[in-house]
Amino acid sequence: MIALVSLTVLKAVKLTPKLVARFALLPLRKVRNPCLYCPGICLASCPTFLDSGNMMLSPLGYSRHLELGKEKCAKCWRCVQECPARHQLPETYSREKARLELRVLREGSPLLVAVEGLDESYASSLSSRLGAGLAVVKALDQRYTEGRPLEGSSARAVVKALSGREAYSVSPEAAHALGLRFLPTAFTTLGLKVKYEGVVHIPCLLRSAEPEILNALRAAGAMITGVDRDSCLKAKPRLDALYLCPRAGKLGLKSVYDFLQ
Amino acid sequence: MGGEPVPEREFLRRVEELLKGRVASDPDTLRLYSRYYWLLALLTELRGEPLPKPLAVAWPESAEEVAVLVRLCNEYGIPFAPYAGGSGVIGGTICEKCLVIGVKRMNRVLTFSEEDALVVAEAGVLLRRLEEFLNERGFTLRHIPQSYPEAALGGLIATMSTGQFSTKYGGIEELVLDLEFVAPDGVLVPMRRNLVPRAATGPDLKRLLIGSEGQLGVITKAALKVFPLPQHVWKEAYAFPSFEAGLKAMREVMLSWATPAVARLYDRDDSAARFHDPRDILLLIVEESSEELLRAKVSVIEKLAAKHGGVKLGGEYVEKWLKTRFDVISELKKLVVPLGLWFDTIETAATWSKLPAVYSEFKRRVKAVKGVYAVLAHASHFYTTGACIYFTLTYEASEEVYWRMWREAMRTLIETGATISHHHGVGLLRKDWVAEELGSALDYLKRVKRALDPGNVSNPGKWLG
Repeated sequence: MIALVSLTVLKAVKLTPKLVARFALLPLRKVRNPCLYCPGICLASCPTFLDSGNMMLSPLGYSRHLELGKEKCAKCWRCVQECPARHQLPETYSREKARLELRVLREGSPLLVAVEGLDESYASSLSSRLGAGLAVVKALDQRYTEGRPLEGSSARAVVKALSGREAYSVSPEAAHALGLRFLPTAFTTLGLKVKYEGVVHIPCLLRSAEPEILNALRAAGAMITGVDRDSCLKAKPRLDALYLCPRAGKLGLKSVYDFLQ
Repeated sequence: MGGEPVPEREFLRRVEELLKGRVASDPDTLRLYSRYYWLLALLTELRGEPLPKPLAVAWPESAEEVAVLVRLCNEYGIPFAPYAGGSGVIGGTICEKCLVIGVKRMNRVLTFSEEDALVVAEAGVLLRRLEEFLNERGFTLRHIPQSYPEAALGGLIATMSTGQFSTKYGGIEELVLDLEFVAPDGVLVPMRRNLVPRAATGPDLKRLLIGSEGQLGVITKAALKVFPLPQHVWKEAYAFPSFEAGLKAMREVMLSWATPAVARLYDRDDSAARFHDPRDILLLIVEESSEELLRAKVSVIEKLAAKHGGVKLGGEYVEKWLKTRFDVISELKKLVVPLGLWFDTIETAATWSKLPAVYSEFKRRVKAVKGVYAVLAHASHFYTTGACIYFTLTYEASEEVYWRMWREAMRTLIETGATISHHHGVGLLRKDWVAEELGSALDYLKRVKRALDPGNVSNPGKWLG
């Protein structure tokens, strides 16, 4: 910001007293909804837009009609990853915040971290099988289903409580929100094998971790014949792809947790 | 006609029957599809003021469905406006009471031939998706405008787009081998029976569609040249003693056929804003499949740059540009909007002999306009005969200032012998000035429009009538 209004830059500007006054007030003026000014840099990544071709069902529509975003946006964060301003559009749909709470159901190390209402059954059964600890984070899925922003202090408290522990997130959601290691990347460490041959979907929330995820799955025995970066299980899922999202199981799709040996 | 509610309702019922849910006429959708990325329309929208609204938005899935829609438009006297990526900046799709024909569901890549180095794709394919498809196969279209992330193929052709690599690969008109389109009377005009590199089979009707801005029908499919991904790349930046010296160096580079893929000569104001370095800076990318050819080009370029006083700066600025080249939002968010300002870009082209005057007169005259605060310039596309200069303007966020600035800009370009548009097109924005540039050719183009579109349903009210 300081660099943007450096003296070098100002040499290119025809300064008037009115403009100088506005520069002085610049730190006080924020743009809250940059999507309104954008041609849609993220459009090619939005699953609901790619499926429909309709700009209303894209960040351009969602940012103008928050209720529509709350209902239709996949909250996959792909648009955030594409946005030069890193605008967290999926968190703007609801004024109510998601107040997180961590409940440790079974102490142990490693600790599997589940999300309430999303992946508790997978996490519980894996924790029993591995003799691992089990914790559940309440309210986190509201961020990815309703577009509620995380309540900052509660999120920080959960992160602090998990810091220094060998904690693995069962879902991409908790890995994304809390910065935890994603469980499938530790399958081999934990002695888990994957019996699967076919296409693997890269979780939308964890696209930057694609190489790590694919290497880990291969090490765990998966025969990967193709990589799906396009589909989204909330918009237009692929029936032939293996999803690393626990939500896939609920939707009748292939979840990696159903292919563990 | 369009203003009568009963035929409109009947028309919409027929469209709904055809598309079964792939049509919308709710106020929110109409408002979003009325805005487009014309900066004046965007400013209007942001102020909550009304824009001319279309009648409905339809999303056909095939050229045949487009043809039926266009025939319905003719039957009911309802105009239509083709809509691809929505990233155009000249008001080309703004069309009151029109049926907007959104082509984004027609987004398949139909054929790709590595041997023939060509691809055939539907008009709604997003440019980025098409490029990614080709890259996975070792090829590239190398058509990369700033709108790369959101633009779609049909719109790029309809606006006669160029891209950041067009200095080497040419504008879209040089990449298109053939087109399929739905004529304004609803007849599907197919591609040639044979895709060929060139054919002397009379004037090419399809060429009329390139730059037609939706006024001569709907482009539904295109065959395009593609190229192997280059294996050898050289990136360098030079500081020149003046903008004119940089232009002279590039003239010799182009005439010696040491053609770079990317050449961008920033004037000192533009360099100050983008690189915090107030010098006249030339960014260059040379890319070739053959290392020998690359070395030869680089050798020629280095000599010519030095001859005109160019000082090597290394590749850092090129890398910075590569990282930020599609970002149209960051500075708007951080600076322009919070300052109560607005922005626009005006692109032109002129021959070498006229370019220095075009550059200096534009900067002087447009910056003197009341309410205009900055006029940055860079030459962004080069030819053997001249170059494109791309001006970036910052001004008071007001419609009055907007038009005052545009009037002075267009007068300056016309009076200095430059074109009023190098690659954005005419649309609603430049329609008042296009006659001055084209002369009687515009009258004949209007006759062509009337012959192809007797009902005047194909995006009417623009510069072809």
